[in-house]
Amino acid sequence: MTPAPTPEQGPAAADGAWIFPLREATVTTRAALVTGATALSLVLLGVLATLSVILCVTRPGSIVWWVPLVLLPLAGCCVAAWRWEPIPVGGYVAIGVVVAASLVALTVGAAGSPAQAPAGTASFLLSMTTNVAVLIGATSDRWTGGIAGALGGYAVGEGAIVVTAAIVGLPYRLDLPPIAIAVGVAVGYAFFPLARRRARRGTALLDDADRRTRARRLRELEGRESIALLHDTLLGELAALARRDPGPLTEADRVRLATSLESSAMLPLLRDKTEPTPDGVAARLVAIGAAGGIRLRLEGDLAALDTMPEPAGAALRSALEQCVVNVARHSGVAEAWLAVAASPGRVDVTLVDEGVGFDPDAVPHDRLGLSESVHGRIERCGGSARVWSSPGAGTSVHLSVPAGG
Amino acid sequence: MALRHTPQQLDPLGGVTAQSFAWIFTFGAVATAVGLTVGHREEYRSLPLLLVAFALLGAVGAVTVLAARPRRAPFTWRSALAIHLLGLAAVGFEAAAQWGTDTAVRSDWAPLALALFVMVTGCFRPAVEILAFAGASAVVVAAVTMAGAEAAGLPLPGIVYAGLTAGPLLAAGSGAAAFSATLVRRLLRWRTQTEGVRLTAAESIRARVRDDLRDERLSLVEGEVGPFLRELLVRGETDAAAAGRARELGEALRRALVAEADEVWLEDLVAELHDPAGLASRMDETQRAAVEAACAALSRRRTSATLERAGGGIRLTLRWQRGGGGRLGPEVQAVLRSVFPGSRIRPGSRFVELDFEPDGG
Repeated sequence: MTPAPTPEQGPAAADGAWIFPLREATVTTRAALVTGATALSLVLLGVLATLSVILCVTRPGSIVWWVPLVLLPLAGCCVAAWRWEPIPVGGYVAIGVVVAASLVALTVGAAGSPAQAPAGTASFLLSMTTNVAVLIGATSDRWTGGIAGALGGYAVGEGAIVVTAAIVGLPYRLDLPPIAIAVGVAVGYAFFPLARRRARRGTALLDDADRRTRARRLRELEGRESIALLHDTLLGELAALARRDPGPLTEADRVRLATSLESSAMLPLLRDKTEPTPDGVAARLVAIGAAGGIRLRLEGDLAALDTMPEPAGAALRSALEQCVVNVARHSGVAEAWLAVAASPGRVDVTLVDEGVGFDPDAVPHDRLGLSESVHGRIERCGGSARVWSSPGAGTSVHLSVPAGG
Repeated sequence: MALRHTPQQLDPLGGVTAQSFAWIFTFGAVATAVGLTVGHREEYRSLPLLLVAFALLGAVGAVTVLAARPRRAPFTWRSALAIHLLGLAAVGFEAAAQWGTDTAVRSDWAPLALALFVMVTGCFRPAVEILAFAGASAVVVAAVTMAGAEAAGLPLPGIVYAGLTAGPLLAAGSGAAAFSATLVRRLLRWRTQTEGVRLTAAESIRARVRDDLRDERLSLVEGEVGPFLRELLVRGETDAAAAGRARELGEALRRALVAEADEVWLEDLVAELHDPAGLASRMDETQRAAVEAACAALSRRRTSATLERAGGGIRLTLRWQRGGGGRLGPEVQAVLRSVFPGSRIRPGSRFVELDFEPDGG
């Protein structure tokens, strides 16, 4: 017999949260790329501003003093491209104009800075700001996913630099990094949907597996619960009838048979219903014991049995009833002891008899009383059940269940 | 919260997408290195040191590409650390190869290559770690660059040259961290927002399962046991024949219930199951779903499953035959590695070994 399934709820429970749908992945990846590109651009501009300030301070005259100020509008464009949603046509024009104007100003500044002019249009100031223009273009692109934006950003930035350099006499130098970045960003954006589609083609397979697993698991849990109930009701009745001496049925027999028939038809629904125990769980256990010829002696915090939260309360009640029935049927004695100990978050119950005992390892495979009606129920609600017994030495059953809800 | 999760933990399939970019960025780093070396070859005076730097670049690329493979998921902090350490070693050897002759600091390829590899980690690692590693590496790169600039007698303050090499690395780290944090934040938000939908779906599955189960139980009971007991109720007495019949019906009902209790979920999914100790039932639900997905992917092959105790845990080995169509795709590999950390996946040898701790045990 396979071990009883453990609680269905928990952090590891399959609930589909581990499969991120393609549509969501597309939007999320785009948002992350845009945020990442903006962060990269802003840090790059910050580094440039810092270097410019350092040059102004340590080598006065090596770079024109207002260069750091020109970087501010570019930073503003980074933020606008990131946060402006949606960007109207006028917004694109405004961003393009500000980027171009900033690069025009920086080219003029580079031409007038001895620390930058020798490198011509490939100076670090112009090179890095062209990279930022590429990223602003890619970030603001809401139509082609960044492809046209990256190339457009490069065209605007490099165009502004080339034209201005020609006017102010700054020598033109081919600067490869911005070209590589523009092409790389465009190719990356173009490739992303393909890579994502390829990676996500297993989503349907995983979704189906997730759904089937959940259904199978619920079937297993509900099935085990109803096996335990069938064992305690119909199987018990049939066993009693098989042992019964011939003769008329008593009123109690009739009621029990009718109840078993009724409950067996409702098995899968019973778990949601809390069986009323008007006199308390302890009194019910005493009554069950008395019906089987057992005097049940009680001690400890019996009230804890009545205040247990569900479903642990129902599981504990049903398991205890089955334990008392087992004592009545198999122990061969007329007395048993039940002790309840409640602690914060847990209730422990011990049932002891000094009867004939048995070898728990020798219980036949097809006996469902201990495995399903006691162990299964208790373990399904997150508790534990232990049985100590040996032939001639009585039996002790210890049930421990969480009481924290 | 969002800064400490990894995107790959929350979305294993996203890691599969990112694998392609690990290749692209590695190619970009190598191309950058070769292009800048060729363009500024006159600055390098030691070929052996340059070759060591290239070898280290190759090692960084290998670590990146291997760590990004779905069958080795998740991308660990050790891999990220190895990328930084090997990358910094490449920075050092490149600087040594042009010691005293590095006249164009912006042409140093090793810091740029490291920045590209740092960008890859944004897909896999938590934001805080990315920022910490990138910040520390930027300090080292800045120090190396300043020393090299000093040795080359460059005219501007060393800190300016340091900014040109360490700045892009820092910017790449910030971008990668922002990318990672945004992915994680949105993934967590999606989980929270869709929790209700998933609970509703679970309730609908539960209701369907209960209906099916109720029908099954009714047909089991109503076949013979129900009519027998009703007839007894009507008759109002028992005799020896009724006792015999009750025994027969009880045994039949017990056999049916025991057979159901003996069912193992994995039996339906594989052609052969070796699980004498009933260990399959100790897997949690997400693990079961991942195994179910793997078995579904291999459904047209004859797959066998073996469960045995290994150390303190349990090992499930899935083996499948050659041919028959279907394969263990990268997405399933990534999910298996995500759900069973440390599992060994060898599609070429047609087996996977999945170790897990017993659920509720």
